[in-house]
Amino acid sequence: MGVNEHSFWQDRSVFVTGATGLLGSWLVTELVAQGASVVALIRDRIPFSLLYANGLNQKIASVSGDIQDYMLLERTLAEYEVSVVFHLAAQTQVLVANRSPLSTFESNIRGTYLLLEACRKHPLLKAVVVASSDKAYGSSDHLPYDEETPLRGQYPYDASKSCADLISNSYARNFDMPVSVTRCGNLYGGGDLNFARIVPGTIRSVHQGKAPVIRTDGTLIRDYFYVRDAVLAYMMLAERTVTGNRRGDAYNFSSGTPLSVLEITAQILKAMGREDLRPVVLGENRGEIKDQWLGTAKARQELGWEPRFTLQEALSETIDWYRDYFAKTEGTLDRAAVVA
Amino acid sequence: MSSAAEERTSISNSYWQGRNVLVTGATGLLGGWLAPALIGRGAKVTALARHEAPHSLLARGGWLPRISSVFGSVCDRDLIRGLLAERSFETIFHLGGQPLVDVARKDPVSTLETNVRGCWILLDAAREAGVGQIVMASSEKAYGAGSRMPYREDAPLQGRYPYGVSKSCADLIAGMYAHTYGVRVAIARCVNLFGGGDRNFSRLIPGVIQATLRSQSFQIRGDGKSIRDFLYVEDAVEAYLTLAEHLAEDASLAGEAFNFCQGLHMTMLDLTEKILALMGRPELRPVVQNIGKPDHLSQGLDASKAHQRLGWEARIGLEEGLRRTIAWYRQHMQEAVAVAPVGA
Repeated sequence: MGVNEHSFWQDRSVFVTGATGLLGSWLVTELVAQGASVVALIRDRIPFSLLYANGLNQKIASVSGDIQDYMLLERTLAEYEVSVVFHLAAQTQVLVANRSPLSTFESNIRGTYLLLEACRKHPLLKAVVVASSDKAYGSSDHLPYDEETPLRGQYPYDASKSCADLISNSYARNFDMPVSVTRCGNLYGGGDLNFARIVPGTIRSVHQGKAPVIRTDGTLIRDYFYVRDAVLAYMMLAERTVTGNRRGDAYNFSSGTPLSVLEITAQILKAMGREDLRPVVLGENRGEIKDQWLGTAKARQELGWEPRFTLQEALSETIDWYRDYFAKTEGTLDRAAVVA
Repeated sequence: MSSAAEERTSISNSYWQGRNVLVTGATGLLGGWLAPALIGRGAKVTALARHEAPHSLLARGGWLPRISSVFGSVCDRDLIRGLLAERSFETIFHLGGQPLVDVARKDPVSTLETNVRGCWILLDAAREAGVGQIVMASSEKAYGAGSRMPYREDAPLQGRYPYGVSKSCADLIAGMYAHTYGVRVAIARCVNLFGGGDRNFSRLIPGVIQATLRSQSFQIRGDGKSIRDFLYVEDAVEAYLTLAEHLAEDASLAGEAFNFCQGLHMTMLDLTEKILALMGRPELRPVVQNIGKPDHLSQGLDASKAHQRLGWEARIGLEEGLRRTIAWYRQHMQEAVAVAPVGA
C-alpha cells in the first residue's frame, strides 16, 4: 500500500466528509499514502481522532463546517476542483439516534441530499461514494441481505440510512450522476474511541483486567468489518465508479463471517489471552435489529473485491493499536470516551 | 359553499364534535375538501399553509372565517413546536408537501425539504407534544417501480424519481416514529386525486375540463395509453376521516399504511373521452402529441386492507366524481381562467 506514481489516486482531488470518524481517518491515511490531495470536511475538532495523530492533518486541507451548510459544500467542490467525494459524515451511533432522532435525520438524510445537490452542480465530479449501512435494510427474515433486499429501517438510525440510500440512488438515476453506495457491517479498528461499542469496550475492559460488559443479551448477530478492509473497499468502488461508469449501484461489503456479540467477545478474550474473564451480560436489547449479515457476491463478482484481512489479523492489529494508545494515555483524562 | 360541501355539513359524526384538528397543506386540493368536512362535523380546525392563497378552495368557499389560519412552513421547527405545544391537537392531518412530479425533478432539494424534512419536524414535534393521532399523506408513488402490482401495503418503498423517493422516505420516517416511539401515526397512500378546485391544469382531469370549457382539444403529451387510477377527492376525504377515527380507537393501527384507490384501469385516452362525453362535447377529440417516453406503467394499488379493516370504499366513484368536478369547474371557470395555473 505504498506510493505508486501511476496510481489512480496520485494528485487526485478528493473530498472526504466525516474525516474525523473511524473510517474517515483511516481512509484519509490511505488516500494520502497513495498521493491523493485530500480536502476534509471537519465540523467538530476532535483531538483524539486519528486524523490528528502522526501529523496527518498537516498533510491535508481542512474545511471547517457542517455537512448541512450547502454553500460551503458548493464552494469546497468548486475551489478544490474536487474529482472524487467520499460522503461519510453522519451521526453514526444507534443509541444517540434513539435519543435524538431529529439531529440524526438532519445530518444523515438532509446532509446527504445537500451534498448530492452540490455534487449535481459540480461539473468536475467523477465519483461520489455514499456510506450507507447494513442498517439501511432494517429487519429481514431472509439473511444474508443482498443488495435487492428492500430498505425498510424501523429505528431512527436505520431509517435515516434507508432514506439517504434511496435518495442517493434517485440522484444517480435521475441526474445521471456517478454515485455509488456502500453498505458495510459494523466497523472496528484502532482509533475508535467510542468505548460503548463492543470491540473497543471489550479491549479496554480486558486491558484493565475487568470482565467485559455486554449491554444486550449477547445473541445479536452482526458482521464485524475491519476498518482497513473497508478503506480498500471504498477506494476500489470509487475507482470503479469512475472507470466503469456506474450509476447508483449499491454494494455490500463485509468480512463474510457473522458473529454473535458473545462470539466476538470470546475472540477478543482469546486474542488477548484472557479467556478466564467471563463477560457480564446485561440483557438490555432495545431499539435495534436482532440479526443481520451481508452477502457480498455482487462486490466479488462485479468488482472482483475480497477482504484482505482475516479476523485474527484484524483483531491482532486492533488490539495492538489500543495497547499502544492506553500506554500513551494512561493516567490522562479519559474524555475521549464521549467522542464518536 | 358548494353543494357538495353543504351536503357534507349535514352529515353529523359525533367523533369530531369539538375536536382540535390541525390540517397542514390546507390550501391544496385534499386540504380544501377535508377542512370543510371537518368543520361540518363540528371540529375546530387550524390550517397551516405557507401563504395566503386567495384562490384556494377554503378562500373561495368562504371557510376562512371558521378556520384558525397559521402561515408558515412545515420545515420551520420553532413554529411547528410552538403551534403543537400551544394548541393541544387531538388529530393532525399532515397533507403539506410539494405535490408536483415535474417540480421535484427540476428542484429536488426543495421537494425533499418540504416532503421529507417537513415530515420529521412535524412528527418529532408531535412526539414531544403528545398529539393524539396523526394521519400522514403518503402516495402510491412511494412504492416506486416494483415487480408485483397491484401493490399491497407491505410492498417495498423504493421511489426512484425525486418526488417518489420523497414520499418513500416520509413514509419510512412515519413508520419509524410509530415503531420506535409509539407515535400514533397512520399512513394514507392514495392514487392520483381529482376534484373541483385543483388548479394544476397540467394534470389530466382539470386539463381536459378546462380545455373543453374553452372549446379546445386537450393535448396529451405522451401516447395516451398510460394507465392510471384516479380517486375522487371526497372519497379521499372519507378515507382520511375514517382512518383517523379508527386510529383514535385502535392503537394497533399506529404505523400501519393503507392504500386508497378506485381500482380503475383506464388509459388516459379513455378517461379523456369519458370526460368529453359527460360534458357533451365528444367531438373535441384529444390531440395525442407522442412526446416523451411511453410510460404504460399502471400504478395499481390493492385497497383490500382499507375495505377490510376500515370498511372504506369509494362511495362516490369515478362517474359521479367527474360530474361533480365538471360542475365545479363550470361554476368557477371564470375565476379559474383568471388565475395562473401554478401550485395549489
